[in-house]
Amino acid sequence: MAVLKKGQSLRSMNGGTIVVETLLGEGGQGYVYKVDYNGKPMALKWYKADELKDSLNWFYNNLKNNISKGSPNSDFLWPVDLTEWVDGTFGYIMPLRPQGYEEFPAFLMAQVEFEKFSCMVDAALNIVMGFKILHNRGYTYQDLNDGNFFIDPKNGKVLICDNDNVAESGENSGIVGKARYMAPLVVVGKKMPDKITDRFSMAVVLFMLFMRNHPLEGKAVQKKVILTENYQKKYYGENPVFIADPTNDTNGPTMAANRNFLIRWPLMSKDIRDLFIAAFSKDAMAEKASSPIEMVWCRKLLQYKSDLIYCPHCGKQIVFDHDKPVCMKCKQPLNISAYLSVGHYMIPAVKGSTLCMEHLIDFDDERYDPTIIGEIICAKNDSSAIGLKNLSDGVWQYQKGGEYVKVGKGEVIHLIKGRKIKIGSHYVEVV
Amino acid sequence: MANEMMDLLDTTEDVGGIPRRTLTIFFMIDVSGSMYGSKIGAVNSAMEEVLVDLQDVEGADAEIKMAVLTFSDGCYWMTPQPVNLDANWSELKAEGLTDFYSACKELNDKLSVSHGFMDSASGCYAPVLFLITDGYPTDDTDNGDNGINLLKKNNWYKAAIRVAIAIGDDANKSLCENFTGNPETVVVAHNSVFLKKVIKKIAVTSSQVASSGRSRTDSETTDPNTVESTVGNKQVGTIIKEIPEDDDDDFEW
Ligand SMILES: Nc1ncnc2c1ncn2[C@@H]1O[C@H](COP(=O)(O)OP(=O)(O)OP(=O)(O)O)[C@@H](O)[C@H]1O
Ligand SMILES: [Zn+2]
Repeated sequence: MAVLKKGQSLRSMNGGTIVVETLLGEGGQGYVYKVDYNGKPMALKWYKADELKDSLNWFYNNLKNNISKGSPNSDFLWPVDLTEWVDGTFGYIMPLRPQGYEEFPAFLMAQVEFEKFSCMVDAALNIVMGFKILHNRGYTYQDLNDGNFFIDPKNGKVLICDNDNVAESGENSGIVGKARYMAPLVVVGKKMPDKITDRFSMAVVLFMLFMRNHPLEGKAVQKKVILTENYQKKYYGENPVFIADPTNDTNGPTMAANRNFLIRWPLMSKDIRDLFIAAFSKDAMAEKASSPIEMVWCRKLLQYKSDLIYCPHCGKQIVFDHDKPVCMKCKQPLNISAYLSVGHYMIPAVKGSTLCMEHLIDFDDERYDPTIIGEIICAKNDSSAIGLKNLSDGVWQYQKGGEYVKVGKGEVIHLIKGRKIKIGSHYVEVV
Repeated sequence: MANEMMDLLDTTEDVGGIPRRTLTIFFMIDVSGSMYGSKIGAVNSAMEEVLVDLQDVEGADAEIKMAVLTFSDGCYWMTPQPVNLDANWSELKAEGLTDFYSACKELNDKLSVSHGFMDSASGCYAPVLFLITDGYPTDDTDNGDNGINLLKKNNWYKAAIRVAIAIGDDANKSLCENFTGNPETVVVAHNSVFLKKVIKKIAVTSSQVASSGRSRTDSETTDPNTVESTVGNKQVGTIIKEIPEDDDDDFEW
């Protein structure tokens, strides 16, 4: 029970001084304190020695390594310094969670709601991008679960915390993960966590974010009530079945326990549903088939976000189905007169639709950039005449009668099929 | 366009929180006459604080409930149904005998889905069973054997994380060890300061272990045909072992 006291002072590995202020929270592996670190407010995670035992040394060395490598970017509450050892344990310093960010479980428990539906999609994109960057750098997260994210409900921004388990591929702390988030092959002990098993855990987190249900907890699992080690092995390891598996309904949803899923699943686009079906297919979970990689998730999620349009008839936000253009709310047919085609994306051009930076960057950078650069508007006198308004600081160009027309901030381009708009080095075509 | 633009979240049926499994922590507390005074006082003040501390253990995976069974002359459910952590703690009073057998019978009854406390739409974790006693059963001839043997046939008991505190100088350690089935999950308390501290620590730790499902590579593999929570009980045991020894200078009882 070696907990720290208010006012207690500790030395850091880099020669700094840490003064303990208040306890922010307690988890299974440690306590988190607000501290003064060389005059700056920071967070200190202090390990419970009796919980981690032999792993403590591993954590110490791993953290040292992660500190010297530095944070992938500021979306990670990355360790910046270590403390001295006290009574057989130690801690590490990381940035404090900023104002506005909420713990992921608060969303799961419906204590916090996203301001808009699209913020939830942005949160999903930010989560996937976080893992894309980690994996690009040769790291694996290993112990991915609901405690690893702070999310801002106003804009879907995500901070990834608990980065002490993040390690280079092949390294492992001895902690293989948290039940319900671990990949089946890890649960049964056939495999150590790696990039592929991270992807399973990520798919679980995304599914829970959207559905507020667990992907493997359908009718077969609910009534098997005692969650013991063996039971856990069976339903999350040896014989996991996705609640929406189209080839096997033995673990299908029930109204009593999967109401959330039944409401939310139809709100996903077909592409997103297909990604979940692929990620939780029998073969993917047994690693006999591949599971969608981060880039695929990113692209499909951004297309999904672009398909969240406002129905011109009833004004409600809906999910536009490219194969069946009918409003899901008022059931009236949707005549989309034009689309913006850019890279992998097809944006239905209806009033309120937007073009964002990421449509152009297409996830080649290290961060998801949802900054809106253009918006679809209707002519005041003729709602069938639509245009794209430049909301960016850049000057766009398009060709009209052999001449280049420049379009500055606040100006509008009439959307006529076949027109090609040049934005920086990218082209957006009206189709 | 006549209509206002409405967000999808506002036009779709609200979804509630994610279904959580229930973790019930059963306290089986000896309130016989010998517990009178600082022992029961320590239990009372520990329990008030336990309710608060356990709120930090709850999360999106687990909802924690508490059931309290006291025994003296017969036994009594302070909680006719398991209660949430925002419940008020009503002070226990100590008087009477040590009817441990009748308490085991009652506990056995409630460790059931159909007629007991283990019914929950989204399932339950294996419970935590926490025995706190300072005495010797007055309604059982073999130091509690009959009652415990009854429990040993119950699958919920088998699956449970089982912990116990034996109180006092002549603490009945063997009863407690028989109850938990594992000497490592029994602690002896000799004074009220330690008793209070250790109740809190054990309640929080065992709930964390019971609900976390955190796995390690060195967890031993269990017999696939058993419902025993071997790894969980072992984990709790190792943490309990680390609790600093009761300080005999403070000897009270
Ligand atoms: N950088 C931070 N700034 C502010 N609060 C934080 C920070 N990191 C963690 N916390 C808070 O501290 C508490 C405990 O942290 P956390 O859950 O990460 O601990 P843990 O021991 O790793 O947990 P577990 O092992 O159960 O995953 C949480 O409530 C969390 O919100
Ligand atoms: Zn409509």
